[in-house]
Amino acid sequence: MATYVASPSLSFSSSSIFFSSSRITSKPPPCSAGILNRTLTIRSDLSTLPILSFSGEKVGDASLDLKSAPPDTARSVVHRGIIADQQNQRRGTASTLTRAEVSGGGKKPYQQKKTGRARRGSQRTPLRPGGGVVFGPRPRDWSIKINRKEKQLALSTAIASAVAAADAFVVEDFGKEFAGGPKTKEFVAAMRRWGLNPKEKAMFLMTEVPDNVMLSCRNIGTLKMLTPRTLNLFDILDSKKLVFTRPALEYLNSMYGLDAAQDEDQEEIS
Amino acid sequence: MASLRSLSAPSPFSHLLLTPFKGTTAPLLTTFNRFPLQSLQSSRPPFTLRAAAASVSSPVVLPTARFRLDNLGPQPGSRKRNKRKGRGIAAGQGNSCGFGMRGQKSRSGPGVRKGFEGGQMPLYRRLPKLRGIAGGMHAGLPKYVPFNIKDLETAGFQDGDEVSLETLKERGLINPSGRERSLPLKILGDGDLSVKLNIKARAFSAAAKAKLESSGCTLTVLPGRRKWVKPSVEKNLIRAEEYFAKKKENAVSE
Repeated sequence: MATYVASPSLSFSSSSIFFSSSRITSKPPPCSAGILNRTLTIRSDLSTLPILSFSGEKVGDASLDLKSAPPDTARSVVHRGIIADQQNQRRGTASTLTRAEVSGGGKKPYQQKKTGRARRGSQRTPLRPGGGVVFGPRPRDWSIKINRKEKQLALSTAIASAVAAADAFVVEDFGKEFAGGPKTKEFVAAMRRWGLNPKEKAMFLMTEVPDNVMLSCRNIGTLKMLTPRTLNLFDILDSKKLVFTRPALEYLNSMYGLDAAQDEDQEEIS
Repeated sequence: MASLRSLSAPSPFSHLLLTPFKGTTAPLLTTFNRFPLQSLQSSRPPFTLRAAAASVSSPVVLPTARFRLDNLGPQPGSRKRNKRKGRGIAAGQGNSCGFGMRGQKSRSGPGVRKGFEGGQMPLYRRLPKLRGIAGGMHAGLPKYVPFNIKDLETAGFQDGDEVSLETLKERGLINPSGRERSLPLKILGDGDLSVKLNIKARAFSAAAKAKLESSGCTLTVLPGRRKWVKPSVEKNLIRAEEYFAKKKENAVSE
């Protein structure tokens, strides 16, 4: 946490127009206001992940090279990604009836004067039980737009930060271990061998999930078994540990790696 | 602010005065102060930014924490707090919510309509309407991107160069924008030309044509966009063309 409390402090010192704050420490800022010295380059850090076998031993290293936002905007890029995701999930169907829409209330309850009571024009006034609602929720479109590349960058930045913080590792394909039949107890035991606490949230990314693996893990409430199709920013940020298989790692490198730019047209089709 | 400095490492703030940000940083810092998870600060080591800490040659310093749901936030300065109107006089927008005192503009609703001058004949009705081309008729709009010969002379073209809409754009001599982007090029006759160019344009003014031909330029009149016709009409047109061509041939041979 402290790291990212410190990071906004750095970005506070730079305005949102100038993104050169990372360089400012070493040299004075560009004085000419006409030339904006933008360092909006997308970083890419090669990082290595340990590969664990099903029995929990380290059998090798894998490399992951993901696009990542510049350090002074990374926090807000991920924030925008998750805000867009969550806000777009809102259905916006909450609805209340105003005094005009509540049925009845057309007739004046009693005459204006001479009764000695407070004047009343409608049975459905908001002041009465059963009356209309003042400024209540109405159906509303909450969706916000985010650029496709920015959304992808948010996801890859989140994964890259998890990898950099050593919260991610790779496991060898373990589909055949469950060929005999689904067994959640075995899956939990495997998680323990990999150093995962079943009480803490974990995210698995596999390109293909065998049926028996799915059945073995679906009752573990803290575990999210994701495929590239269901990969999402929330689960990445929510999980304590990220677990990839080798094909999943290849997928991440090809989809969110630095050389994925030329594949973008194909992504749109698929 | 002072408490903030004491809380976080001093290094991120040492260059605070060097930033190009011209506005006051006080409100930004106060919002930061309200950041709800400062209590965790002491438990973790201070953050070293990768790009800031590591120069090109030195090894990359990896951060020890990662982005989680609880440590995200918008870019400072990118969001503005809403005005909270009618929440007490001391709040600044309390009493009359910025609507002033009495009169039509202080009531609910939008006030007077645009251009209304209190009942006096408003400006937009006092002035006469413009008729014809001056009133924005379609016929009054330009049909070409004009270009003068004198500008060709000063543009530094060499003998034999091609002049077309594309080459003029490339050299930055014209920069059509908006509706102009879809217009063809027309060469106009102001000035004189000393180089022999290969000019391609949709149209030439009569003076420009005479001058350019006398100076030995090759002129190409580009075809305009063909009007779309029904396929049946097109077929008939082709047939008519053939028929008249044949008739002409016969007339010549006889």
